[in-house]
Amino acid sequence: MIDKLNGFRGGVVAFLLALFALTSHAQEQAFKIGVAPHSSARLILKLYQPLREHLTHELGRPVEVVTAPNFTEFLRRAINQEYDMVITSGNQSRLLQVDAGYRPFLTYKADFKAVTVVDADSRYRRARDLHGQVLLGLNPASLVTQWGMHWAKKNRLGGNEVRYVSAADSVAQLLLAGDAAAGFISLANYQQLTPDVQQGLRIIASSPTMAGRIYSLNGRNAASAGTIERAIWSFPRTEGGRRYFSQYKLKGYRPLRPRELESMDHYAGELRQMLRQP
Amino acid sequence: MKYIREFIDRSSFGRTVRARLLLSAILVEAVMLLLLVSNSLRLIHENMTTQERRHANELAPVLIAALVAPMAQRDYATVQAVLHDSKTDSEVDYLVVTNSSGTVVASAGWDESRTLPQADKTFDSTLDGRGNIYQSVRPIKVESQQLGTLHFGLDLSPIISARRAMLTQGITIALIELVLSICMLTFIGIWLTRHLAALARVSQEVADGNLSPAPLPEGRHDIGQLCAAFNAMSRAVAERVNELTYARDFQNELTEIIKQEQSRMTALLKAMDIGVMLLDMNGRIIYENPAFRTIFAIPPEVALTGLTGREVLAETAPEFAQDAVVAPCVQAPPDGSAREMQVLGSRVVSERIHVVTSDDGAIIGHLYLFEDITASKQIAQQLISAKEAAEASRKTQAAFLATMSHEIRTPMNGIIGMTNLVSSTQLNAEQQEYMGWIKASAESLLTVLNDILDYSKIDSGQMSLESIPFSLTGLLDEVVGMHKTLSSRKNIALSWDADGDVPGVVIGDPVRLRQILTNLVSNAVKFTQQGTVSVSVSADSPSGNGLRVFRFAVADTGIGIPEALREQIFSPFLQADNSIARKFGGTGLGLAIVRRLVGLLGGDIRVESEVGRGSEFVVTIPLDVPSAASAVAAAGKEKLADAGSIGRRRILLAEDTPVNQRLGQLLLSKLGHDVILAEDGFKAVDAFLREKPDLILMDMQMPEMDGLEATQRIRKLEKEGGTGSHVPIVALTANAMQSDRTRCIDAGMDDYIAKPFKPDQIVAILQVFLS
Repeated sequence: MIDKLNGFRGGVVAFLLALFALTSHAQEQAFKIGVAPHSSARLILKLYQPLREHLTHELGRPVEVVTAPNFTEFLRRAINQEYDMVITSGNQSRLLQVDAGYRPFLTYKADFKAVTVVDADSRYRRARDLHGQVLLGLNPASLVTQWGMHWAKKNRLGGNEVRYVSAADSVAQLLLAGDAAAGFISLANYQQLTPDVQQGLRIIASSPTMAGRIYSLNGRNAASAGTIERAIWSFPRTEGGRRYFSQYKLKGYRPLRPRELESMDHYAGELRQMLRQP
Repeated sequence: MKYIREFIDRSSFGRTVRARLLLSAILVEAVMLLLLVSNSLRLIHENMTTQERRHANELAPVLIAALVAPMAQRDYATVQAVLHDSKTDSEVDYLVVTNSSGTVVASAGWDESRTLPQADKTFDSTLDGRGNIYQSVRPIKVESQQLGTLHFGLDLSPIISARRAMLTQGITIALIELVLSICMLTFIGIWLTRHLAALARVSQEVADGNLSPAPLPEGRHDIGQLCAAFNAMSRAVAERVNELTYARDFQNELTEIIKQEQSRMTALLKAMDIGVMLLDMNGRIIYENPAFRTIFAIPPEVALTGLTGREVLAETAPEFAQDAVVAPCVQAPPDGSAREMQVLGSRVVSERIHVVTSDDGAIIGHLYLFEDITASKQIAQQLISAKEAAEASRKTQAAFLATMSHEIRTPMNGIIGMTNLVSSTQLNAEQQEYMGWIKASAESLLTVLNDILDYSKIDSGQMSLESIPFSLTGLLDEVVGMHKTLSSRKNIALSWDADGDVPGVVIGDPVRLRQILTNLVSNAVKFTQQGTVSVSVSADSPSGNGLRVFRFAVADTGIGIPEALREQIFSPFLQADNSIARKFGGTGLGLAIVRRLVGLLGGDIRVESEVGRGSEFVVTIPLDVPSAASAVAAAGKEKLADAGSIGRRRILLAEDTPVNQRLGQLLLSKLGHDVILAEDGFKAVDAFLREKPDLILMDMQMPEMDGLEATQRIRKLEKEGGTGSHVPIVALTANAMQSDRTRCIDAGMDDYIAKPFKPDQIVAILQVFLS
């Protein structure tokens, strides 16, 4: 009798210890925010540090902002459920929504546009001027690049070599260096370029407003979604949030309209095709 | 350092200048090399450490910068690639990147099974014993988000190896440099100091006794100049050594002589009968000889050194002790002072003090000489007594002679005088003959008396000599004149002659010269029967003292003197033989007196004779030649004596003897003068005052007041009179003593006549003083 009682006690203690460990683990495991590599990793981390710090404070757990070497790898990781939340362009957000169960819930109020930029001193003024020229784009999986390709196709550009670079500022530098005729970057990225770089470029085409940076929450965090979303929605109200939105001209968050991402389906399809390719 | 110093000081090598220079240079160089190498190593090590630290500090940011993107992108492959590429840096030992959870996501050069080390707190390149790895841990952060941690280790082995290599190389180079420096400094030292070595060698040779070493090479440089100076010094040293050696040898000889002299002196001091006491500056005895102890009866066992004279002589010579100078140098008696004192109550000791001074004249002591003169004093006293007795005897003898002279001469004067007076009266032939015999006998007796008195005076040493100017020619005339009558009677040619350079006046004793010549001429006339008697005078050249030796030769053609008797004739009371004495008479004192007088006059007499042919007596007498004034005065006096009548004068005759009174009165009256008679000195003075005589003939010995006192009174009265008058006073004295005559002159008399006097003497005196 006594032996059984002792055994029961031991089991309870073990359970409690495991539960504590789990809880601790759960508490210590960082909330990973995966950000699409639309810029350099350093810039991405710097960009989202205010949000990270806010969420760290609000969620009471470590929050990490991570990115990926490229858009493809980012998508793969996201699809692989490595992120608790992703912040990416509309095309990838739609793909992740459809294929990975991520739930997009907000975006920035600022419009997201893609632009085609050329060296301001170049002769390129219209699309057809870029016929046979080298075109630069970010990762083929980026929305801006996908739009650019569509723009080029739409403008019946042919014989163009498309080079992919890692960051918008790299596109700018290459254009200024004359290594390419035109490049496709986001308007936000263009606006983030230094004034002298902006001065050296010229936008020859601009996309319509598209879904830009979409915040999508991983489905596994559904239980704490409310807490997480509240924490995120409270960010603009913080000093850091105000500076962030002011600095980057993002104007704040807005909830996604229903089916707002459906317009990204064809872009998502292309992404899906890319992902299937070895 | 102490041991090194001791080694240097003790070893012969260490004593050379070259060695010391070398050691000093090496020491300095070693210290400097040590400082240089150590400082260089330190600086290089510090630099390398700084470089490495900087590398470490620069590596981390670079790595982190390279790792930020892949870490943010969770591109661990890229991270690994970065680490791999970074690992190519040889200084990086390992690189490890952990994620935010601490899980190693990439590493290079690290065994992931090992536990990552803690970071080193300081960058210490001297990590011997800790694997030479600098452990560093740096966070990989962007803003505030730590993406992971970079662990890396820098291999400091290169630094350490480099430091060791530098140390080794530095030490090696320093040692090589030292060796080369030693070699070069040694060569330079040898080259520079070769002359010093030679100098040292030659100096040692000189020290060993070789005073003439080989000369050192000389030159214009300072060492050459030093060698030249050494050569000169060496030569000078050799010369000085030779001089010193000679001086030393000489000094040794002197020292030996001094020692011998000291020994002799010591022996002399010990042997001498004179007591010697030497006192130091404080009056303490530092030496005494045995005679001193003997004189003052101090036992030999009594130590005297250090005692004062007073302490030593307090008992034996209280007189000396009482008067002894405690500190001769304070109350220093004069050098050479002497005194006599009683010692032990009975003996007489003479003391002579001599000051002892150093070479610089400082008084360093006193030398006392004591001599027991008791016996000498006794002898002296005896001698004094004998002298006094002899003096008394002499005085007695002189008084006897004076008395005898006076007592004999006075009556003889009366006899001869009266005889002359009687002879001058009218006498018949028989009376003339009788008077002639009386006169001759009286004169003969007077001659014998004079001879005896003269011989006595000479023999008793009472014969005094005069030194007055007189006419030599006059004297010769007088002597020859005295014997003219007798020589004419015997038909003997008597003459005199003198050389042309013989002065007419000389200075000497005319009385004695006359006596000498008279004796010789008288003998010549006496002993010549026929022929000639000549007197010749010559004189040699003047000597340095003005004296001239006059040669008086009395030659006759008489009987001659046998050669065996030529010396005997000069002995008293001896003639050639008794037959001659019987034949020719005489006392036998004449030639003895002549020889004595010649001796008193400083001359000599010799005789040459041939029996039957004659004799020649030669007398040589040194006489002074007077000045022209004295010669004139002497001649004048003679002339004065030869002057004509002096008129009738008043002559005071002070004479107590009746016969002489009468004689004088008669003589003076015959000369035509008035005679005032006084029987004693008192009456003579009265007569002088009353009668105012023109001349006074004063007898010396008179009752009541003698002639000397009377003369003194008369001179005093003349002086008191203040008229400057001066009556000539001539002494009539029977005393032939020169002292008496001196007293006459001192008393104020002008001249004297010896009794018995002859009338022509009176005439001459009157002529002298009254003409």
